[in-house]
Amino acid sequence: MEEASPWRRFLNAVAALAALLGVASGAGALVGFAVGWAVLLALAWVAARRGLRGVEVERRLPASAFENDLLTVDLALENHGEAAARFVVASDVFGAGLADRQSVLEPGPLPGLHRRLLSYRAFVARQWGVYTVGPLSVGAFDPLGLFFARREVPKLDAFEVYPLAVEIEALAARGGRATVAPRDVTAAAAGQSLLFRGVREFHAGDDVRRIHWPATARRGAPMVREYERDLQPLFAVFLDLDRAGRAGLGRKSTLEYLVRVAASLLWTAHRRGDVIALFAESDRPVTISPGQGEAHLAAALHELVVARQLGRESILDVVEHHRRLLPPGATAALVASTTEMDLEHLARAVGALRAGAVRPLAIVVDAHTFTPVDRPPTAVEKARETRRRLEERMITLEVPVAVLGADEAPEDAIRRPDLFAIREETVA
Amino acid sequence: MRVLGTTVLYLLALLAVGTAQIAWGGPTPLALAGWAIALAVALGLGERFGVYFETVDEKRRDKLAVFLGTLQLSVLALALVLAAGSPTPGLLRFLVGVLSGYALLVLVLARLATQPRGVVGHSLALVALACLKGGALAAVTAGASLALIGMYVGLDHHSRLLAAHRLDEGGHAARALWRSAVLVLPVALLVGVAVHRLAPRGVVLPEPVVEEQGYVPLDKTPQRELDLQALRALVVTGVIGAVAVYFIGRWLVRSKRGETRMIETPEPLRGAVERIRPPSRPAARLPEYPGRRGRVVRAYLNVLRGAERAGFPRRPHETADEFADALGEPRQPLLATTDTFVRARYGPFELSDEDVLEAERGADAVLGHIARRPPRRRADTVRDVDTDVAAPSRR
Repeated sequence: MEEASPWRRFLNAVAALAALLGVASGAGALVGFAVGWAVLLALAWVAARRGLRGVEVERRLPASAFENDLLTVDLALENHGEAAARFVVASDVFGAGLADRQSVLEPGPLPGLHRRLLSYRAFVARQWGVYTVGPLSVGAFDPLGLFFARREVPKLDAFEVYPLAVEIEALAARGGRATVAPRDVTAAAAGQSLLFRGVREFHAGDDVRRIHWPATARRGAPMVREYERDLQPLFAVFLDLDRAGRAGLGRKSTLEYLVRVAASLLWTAHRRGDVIALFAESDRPVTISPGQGEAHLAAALHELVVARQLGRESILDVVEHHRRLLPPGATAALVASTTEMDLEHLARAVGALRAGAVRPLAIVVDAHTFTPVDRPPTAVEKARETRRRLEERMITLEVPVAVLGADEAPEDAIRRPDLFAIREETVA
Repeated sequence: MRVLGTTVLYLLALLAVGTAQIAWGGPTPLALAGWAIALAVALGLGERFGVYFETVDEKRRDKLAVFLGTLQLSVLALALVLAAGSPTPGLLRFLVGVLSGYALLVLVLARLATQPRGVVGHSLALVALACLKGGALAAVTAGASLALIGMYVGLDHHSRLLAAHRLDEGGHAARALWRSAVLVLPVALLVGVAVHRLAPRGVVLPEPVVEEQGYVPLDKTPQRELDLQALRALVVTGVIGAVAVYFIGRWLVRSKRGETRMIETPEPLRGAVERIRPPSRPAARLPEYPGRRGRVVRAYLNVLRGAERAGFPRRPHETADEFADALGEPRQPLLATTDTFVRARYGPFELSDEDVLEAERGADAVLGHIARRPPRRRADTVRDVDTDVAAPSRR
């Protein structure tokens, strides 16, 4: 609802005309009417401001959401005054939505020293990135709606929109699950799992809650229960943020594709219960060490949405730096921004990963298919040749690979069950 | 709430037509009752037509409303100028008759525009004609019209506010009426009383001309010259003004097209009302030290402020003596000021003028020394904003 009253200007003009007419004709009643209207305006102005006395508002919202999500933003309206608050309007600016402003009304009465939680649902309509929510304001009309008093709360919240993550079916079939298919959920070593392994003698430092009393009674010495160690599959994403891979603009850019693919990979691994990790080198090193849970996933996604292609290291160098962090049995997903790779270096990196019992897979965004922004365009034949050689080499190395071009949306491409198979057939 | 608003609108129209007729027309009670019924029927028809108007394309409806509104505005302006400029009982009676009839048409078309400004404006024109009469009638008309307009505007505002936020009007109508009435009625009453007391006179009418009843030539037919002229002027000026204002209005509307902002008023989700913790009691203020004690305390506080500005703030846990030891230089005036302060702040005995002078001189000396040779900065200082530097505890 607009804050400017549709009546104020009209009635101001009418009152001015009445005053003019009254003065011209000597009719005191018309002048009195105009003066009365002026008094009413003044009282309304005061009433609008009084309506806001003691009213505070506070916003509560989640820190992040995925694209196209529908989320609820809570506005806690508090009346710290003594008089009841009526018809108070709280307005908020949700940067990730389309509307300029969200407005909710508390008709009241909201008694003094009371709070009411008002909520609005906002649709995350904008693309991934970091947006602001706010400023938040609280306002009140006078009883006639002639004036609107507003007080702004200068608190701005950062709100992160993560790329729409899709389940990558092909990952389950090709590599992502290889560490655990069929996976042993526990190792035959002493650990913290729920799988009982045996009973041993008590050592100093053992938890007394693990004492196995029947065995202790039989042996005459304290005995403790032992459990097997949990095995958690690790899924690590190596993201290529080398500036050499920059191409395209906006939604058709290599950065967009890289971020969307990496987000979906992490999401799929998280949903499967894997331990996830993220490594990249931009203008600063990006390292999300192995971990589990929503908070961990959010930390990884945060790094994705603030990522910039400002790095000076190729993805193969990134793999070289961080591969030692991967335990045996892990899966390493290489998300590269270009098909122009040093194939010998690639072979060495894959070999090193394999030596550590890590299974690699690669999703390559073909920068040549995007509009070049800071370099001359590459000839089509040369681009095709580069891509073909890379795919051939990957297949030779038995690394599942998928190359994405600008002609296909990344969500559609990575959703295909035969994501990795098509490329093999093409090369063949 | 819409029914309430319509009722208030009807009362406003009835007040305007009724008082204008009483002022200049001299109607019988039966005629007044007839006007009341006619207005009610017209407004009822207007409400019924409002449903059909809503089905018309908004752009077309706006165009028609702007055109009819400007025509009406021109007519009203001309009528009021005529009434104020050269008022005669005959002219005023004629204008009241024309505008009262016009009011029926305006009520029928009341819901053509989003806001029934036409009805309010037209009623106010009739109110103005009634006010020209002066006396108690004018006072009542001015006050009552102000009250009714205020209450209608208040009801309309609440109705739009609730509708915009998708809230049910049920239960809020009475509250809206009460809020509007509380603001408007005292002012309206005041206006009525003030007008009655201060300006009871109306417009001064010319003396009636006594026509000679003697010989009249056959070729000279009696004419109602003023009425005909007024009518002609009304029509011509109204049409010309309407066309002109239509184009101005159209230009205004088009020039504001780019300013629209998208404001979403989603379906509200309201939680329960919870009690919040009362605000904590304000922190205890510094005790007031009148007389000599106050001068000593203020001098010491100046030392603390000066030291803090120089990067050597007192730590919250430090006593006055500890702070003096930590600051160190200039030793003699600092110790003297500190000792006098401790006696003034915590001691039971009254201080002498010499003590006060000693403390103030010492404080000046310390501040001068700090300004010349700032102390080493306290890098590991823990700032406690809640702890005041004015009340260090005694060692």
